[in-house]
Amino acid sequence: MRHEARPALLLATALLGLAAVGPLLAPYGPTEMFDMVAMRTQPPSALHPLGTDPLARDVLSRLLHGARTSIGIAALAVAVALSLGTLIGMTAALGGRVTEAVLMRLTDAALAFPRILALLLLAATLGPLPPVEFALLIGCTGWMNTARLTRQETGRLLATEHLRGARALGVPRPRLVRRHLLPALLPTLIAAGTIAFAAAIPLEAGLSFLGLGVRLPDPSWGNIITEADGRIVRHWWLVLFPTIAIVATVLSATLVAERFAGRAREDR
Amino acid sequence: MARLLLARAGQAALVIWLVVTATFVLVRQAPGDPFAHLAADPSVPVEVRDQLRRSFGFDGPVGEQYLRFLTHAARGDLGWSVSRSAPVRQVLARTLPNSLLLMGTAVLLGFAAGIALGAWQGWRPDSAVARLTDRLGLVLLSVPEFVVALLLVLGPALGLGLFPVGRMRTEFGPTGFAAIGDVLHHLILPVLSIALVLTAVVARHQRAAMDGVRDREFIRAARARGVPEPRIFLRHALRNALVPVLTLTGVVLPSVLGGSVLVESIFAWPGMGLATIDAVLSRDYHLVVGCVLVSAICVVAASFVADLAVLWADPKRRSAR
Amino acid sequence: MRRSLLTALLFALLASCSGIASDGPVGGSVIVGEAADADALLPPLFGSISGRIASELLFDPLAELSGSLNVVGDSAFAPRLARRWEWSRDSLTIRFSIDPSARWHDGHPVRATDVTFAFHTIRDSLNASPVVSNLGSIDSVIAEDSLTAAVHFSRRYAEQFFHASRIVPIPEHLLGGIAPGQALRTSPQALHPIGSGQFRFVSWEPKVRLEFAAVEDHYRGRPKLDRVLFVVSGDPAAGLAQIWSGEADVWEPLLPGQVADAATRSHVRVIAGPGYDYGFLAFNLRDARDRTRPHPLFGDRTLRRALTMAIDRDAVRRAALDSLGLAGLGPFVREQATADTTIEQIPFDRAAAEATLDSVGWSQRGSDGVRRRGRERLSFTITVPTSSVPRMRSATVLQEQFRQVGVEVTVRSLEFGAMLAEVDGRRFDSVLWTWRTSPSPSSLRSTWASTAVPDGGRQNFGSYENASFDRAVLDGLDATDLATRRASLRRAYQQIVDDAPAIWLFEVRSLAAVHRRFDIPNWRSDAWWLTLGEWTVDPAQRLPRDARPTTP
Repeated sequence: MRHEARPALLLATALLGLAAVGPLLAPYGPTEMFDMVAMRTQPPSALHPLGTDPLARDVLSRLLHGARTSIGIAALAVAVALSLGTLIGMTAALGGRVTEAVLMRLTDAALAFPRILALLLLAATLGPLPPVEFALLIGCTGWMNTARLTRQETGRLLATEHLRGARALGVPRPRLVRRHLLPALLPTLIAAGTIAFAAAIPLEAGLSFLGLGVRLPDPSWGNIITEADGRIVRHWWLVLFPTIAIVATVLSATLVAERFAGRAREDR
Repeated sequence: MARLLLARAGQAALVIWLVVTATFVLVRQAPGDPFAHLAADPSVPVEVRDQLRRSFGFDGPVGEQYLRFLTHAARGDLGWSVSRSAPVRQVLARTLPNSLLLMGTAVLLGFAAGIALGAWQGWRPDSAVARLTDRLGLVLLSVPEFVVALLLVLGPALGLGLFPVGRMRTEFGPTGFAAIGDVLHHLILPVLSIALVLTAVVARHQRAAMDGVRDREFIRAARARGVPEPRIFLRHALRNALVPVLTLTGVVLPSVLGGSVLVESIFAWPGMGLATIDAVLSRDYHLVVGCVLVSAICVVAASFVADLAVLWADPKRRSAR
Repeated sequence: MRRSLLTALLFALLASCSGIASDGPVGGSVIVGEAADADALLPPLFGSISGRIASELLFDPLAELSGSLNVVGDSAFAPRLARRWEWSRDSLTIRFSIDPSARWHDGHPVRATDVTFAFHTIRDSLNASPVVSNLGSIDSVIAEDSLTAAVHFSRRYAEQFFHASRIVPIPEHLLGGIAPGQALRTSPQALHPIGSGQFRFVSWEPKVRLEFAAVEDHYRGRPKLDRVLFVVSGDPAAGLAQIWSGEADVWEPLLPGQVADAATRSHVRVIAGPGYDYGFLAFNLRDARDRTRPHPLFGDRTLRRALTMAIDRDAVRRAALDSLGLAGLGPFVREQATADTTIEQIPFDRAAAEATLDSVGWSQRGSDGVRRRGRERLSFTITVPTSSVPRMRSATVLQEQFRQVGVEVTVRSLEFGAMLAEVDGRRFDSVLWTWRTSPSPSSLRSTWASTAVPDGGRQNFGSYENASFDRAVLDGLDATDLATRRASLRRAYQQIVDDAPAIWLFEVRSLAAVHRRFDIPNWRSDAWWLTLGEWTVDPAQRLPRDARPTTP
């Protein structure tokens, strides 16, 4: 597993870098349209290395700008999900029996609500959203596994002699959380976060495919596939390149996640 | 044990009630209503839509509608699906079996292939084939299901003409036994769209589990006793490495459910996933609630079964409770 | 291959023996792909285009437009369930004589009381009939004897006969006892209807398939095809893929971008015809927040005209519809008898647009290139449904063109249901919309006239109001001869184009993809399904699914 981790880390760093500076590298603007007659859905060429889309826009530029949108959305969504999940999980573990029961039943209910249905419903209710709000939406439907994990882990940690001692000594709760619980939970959270990140990228693409994703004409990888106009073999470049971008991102995230999960296990 | 089961069942009922109530309220907050499509026709007066809302009981306050829904639901009546011109119960009875056929086949296939592949990869980690399939699996695991489905439609179905591009049967096609073959023919690509990714996921877990037992003492002991290698692999290694993978079923189900929604839409498979998207987009209030209810029951039941399995497999935990 | 040849031979033999092949061979199935399903099958209850198709195949009207689509008077109508009709001397009554050989699919004869029953079903407000506006100024329908139905009007007008012909008889002996409203809509009789058309109902699995079969002893003759099947795929791309693979036979409407794909499939041909849809960018003339006040931007006619001048409508049309759309001329389509292609248009002139914008105070520009007037920015939103590819593309091109004259546009792409709610509630700046017209221009009343007009302004989402336009529309719709009608509507069209409550973008040509094995003698592009009874399949080209159904 280790031999795969280094290239994966490199790839992940490269992709994050791309999300940061990608728009600067783009040869054209993401919504800049060329000649509507001559330049629509043109295959890759020297001027447009990844071709153009049905609105005569440069696919490479949209892909590079889309990197920021897609990776940014996934990252923000994960941050939201992790914070929510940790908060709820820890409150449940540290709170009384009633708090725990209420919070964990809520978590169960949220888990029983198939995520795609929840997102479909919410997206239909709220209408198409700008990227940041869309990321919040994805994050708010993805905190449940983290909450469960955090409660379990916190429960385990609280049972260790070290923390039982700390509690007996009357260490105040905020300090307990900050100094003892959070640092110990960190590897687990990072592993959970990267897994969630790997799940959020295709989720964005899938929702965009249903027309419920990021508001057009903002480019995202999912939007580029969606705008490829159905099932057309002739326009392969509109599906292939964003797919490669998605696969590369998810792949590196998965490998990094496994690396951290391995670490988390070793630490125990 | 019986008390435990009863408590779990109570919790499950509570969870499902929460989900249904949330859906009931949420779907009515979405702009539009089941008859909004009539607004697109300039010849339809607005009063027609108002009257339709009244006729079908979508005009009162949400609380009142909710009470009416509960009393009807208690009698097993989930209301009328406006977009499908049928009782919701009948729509679910028609579409659920189709979805179960699709998802059941995909899950069985995905787990069988994933376990076999992963176990073998874990047992012979240094062989060239194991490495190659491992890399391939990693790539596959990263492709969204709907992209796999799109590619399968483009290639084998539309490009080569080997498979139908959608739906469940050939219309005016074969009857009798041949009809079963016809359904299977339609089933292959949608199942593959879900199963390919699932295989990769399961194989990865199975390989990791196998890694964990390969060099353990009881294996070495068996080998020293002269137990034949295939027997060690099957009876000792795989058996022990199987438990963590089987518990994966409960976790995987929601994501399979999610994937199947998109796959059903791409292949026009007449299942519940397609019905759900349809229902949400056409604001078919009763049908949305019905579909979410069934999905929630499935998910809760699956996690319940998975918990039971863990309890049964792990006596230590049973006594700890 | 060998098997299909054998079946073909067998059929050729059968056909020559039975001697029914006088004008075209009998037999064959057609599978029609659709993205949406019928919402109802009974003529008084449907509200969607799929519902209309199904109900018009199942039920014959009293008379049907044929040949020219002129809805003034009765000269363009051919008999259906009514064998003939006569006008009273004061032109306020039309007496229809029902064809005595006409039968319901259950064998009962069609009677005059079925006409009166249909009228009452449409008029009963509890039934919420979406076609209620087709009743026009019809006062009452009376069965004078078992085969004579008299339709009485409260006034004389151009489309009297058209309205009378829209009262499609429904079987009173089956539906008469059912309470109106939800009970009728959900009754088995409404969901498995007994009709009077050339095709009868076989089975319906909503949103999956809807099957019809030929009526052997129909009073107008047996249709040539044995079966008609509608298959529904929620995702249009999935439905279209079934056309390309040959699993389904007919797809309508085809989008212009898809025509090139049809060319790569040898078994598909594209049928193009004049269209009935026109697309436009409508401005909201009222403030979206406070409807008593004019819109801060679009309340101003000069600004609307300047924005129209800034748009290269040809480029928008090409982006949306390739070379298969026609330039938009106003709130009508060329195929209507009252259309006028000589209306003077606001020309595309970017320099003039900029000059006008400068002159009305939008002369400063910010660092972002957007025009400003004091602290206000010249910025608005275009609302558009994500489900419509041509409209999404138009929005993107419009946004770019407005940007070039310093106008900032945000595209609000909404899922269709959400968009309808916003538009219906008048909560938008501007919206990309298409209206489907019909041979009759009467929908002008609800779409562009003000609420001051009887039945007016219901779907006038942008709240355009102009008294002289209203008057010209009313004059035109009431005129009983075509020349007066044309002259009045010409005035109306010129007025609305000058006022620029919308940018008229394009007219959509109707396009369909159809399997080549069908021989189609007559294609009506406003309602292609009405001639399905004449379609034939060349026995040599039959597919396995064209085989005679074994079960009755």
